[in-house]
Amino acid sequence: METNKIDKNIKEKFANRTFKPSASAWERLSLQLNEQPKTKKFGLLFYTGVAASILLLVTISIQIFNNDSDVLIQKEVIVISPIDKKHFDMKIDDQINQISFPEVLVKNEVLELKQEIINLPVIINKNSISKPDKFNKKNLSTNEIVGNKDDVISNEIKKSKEILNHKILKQNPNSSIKINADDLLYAVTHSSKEVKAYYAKYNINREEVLKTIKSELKKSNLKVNPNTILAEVERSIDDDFFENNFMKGLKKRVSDIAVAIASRNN
Amino acid sequence: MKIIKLHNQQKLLIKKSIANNREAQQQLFEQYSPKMLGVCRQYVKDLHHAEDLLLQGFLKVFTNLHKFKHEGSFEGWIRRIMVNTCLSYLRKKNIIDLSDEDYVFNDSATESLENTSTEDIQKLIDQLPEGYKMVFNLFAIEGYKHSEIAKELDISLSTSKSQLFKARKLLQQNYIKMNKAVHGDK
Repeated sequence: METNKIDKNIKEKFANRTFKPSASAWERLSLQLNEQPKTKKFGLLFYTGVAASILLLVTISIQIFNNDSDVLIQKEVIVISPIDKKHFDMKIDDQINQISFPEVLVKNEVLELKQEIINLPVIINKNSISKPDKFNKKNLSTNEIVGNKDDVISNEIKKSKEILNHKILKQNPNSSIKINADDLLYAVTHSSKEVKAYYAKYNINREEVLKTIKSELKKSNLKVNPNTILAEVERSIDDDFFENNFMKGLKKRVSDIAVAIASRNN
Repeated sequence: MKIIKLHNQQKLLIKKSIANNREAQQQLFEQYSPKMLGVCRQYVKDLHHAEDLLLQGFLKVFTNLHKFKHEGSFEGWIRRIMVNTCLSYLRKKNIIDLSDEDYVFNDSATESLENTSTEDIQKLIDQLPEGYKMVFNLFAIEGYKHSEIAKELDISLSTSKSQLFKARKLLQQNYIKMNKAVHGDK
């Protein structure tokens, strides 16, 4: 009881005891309070910034992964490069020129056969042979056959025509045919239409071309068939070589060919 | 009616203080600081030092004011913060010595402390070793239970009890000594 009494007495005495703080106490506390919220605000801003950054990263990641397929697909880049039409045309023409036309030979055989049968001379108008159309063999013209106008043999001629149309005969190695050189030239180079069209386009006379070739050959003192040169010229008529000045290009071409032939002969 | 009005005023001050209103905070400080400085003085002999602890305590009060739920006494809430601030300080300084030391008690002291002034009692308490003083203050003045003291000071329950017992005895002993000195050895 004694001790409890002491405690009680002391508690009562201390319960309402007060001390007046110094005059600067509030000022000091106020300063501490001013510093306190700043750090709190900074902390709040800092954590807000961190949270916003994380959110931004997550959003960007989601965007990237969602659009992954779009990113991988690349747009096709179409590069348009000019095609050298002339080059391709020349190649095609070369290929076509290499194609043989057995139908023509077969017809010749028929003609030879007919000669044997009727035992009469047959003259084929060479001018009428035209270069076959490259894509339509049906355009082959039937040769005109001019023979003796004797009535006795006219029937035989008709028969031969029938044979020509229906029979397929074997080639005779001894058979011969006379063909116009110009037509043959066209056949191995360009079609006559093409060459003529070219000449017409550039207002060139073929005879003048041939004359020029001859004169050039004379100058070079070479014995070369001018038609061979003409064939070579017409084969490469589409080259850029002749584009600016045909005659000048032609002379140069003749000179080159002559030199080449001379070198070969040597 | 007056009590309700005062309670509402206090609530408003607390609300404004939470919103960092300096005037409201100053009003609360001026209202409670004298009494709280007395609390701090119980634990620390030097008044200036006690004032430092008072400011530390009020800083905690204002920064944690939003945690106050208006369920108990606001003064009691502030007082507890002040006591904890003082205990924390003393613990850090290793001032609290809670070892069991043998004191020679004079059980002849029967005179009551009723007629003794608060200042004299404070002087008697100040003469107590820190450990005794701490437990005595918490138990006798603040009204803590031994279990609370044990938890607060991180000591066993029996230590808290023995410290209180020894504190009382020493206080009596010192009181008798002080009386002898004042009134002469009769």
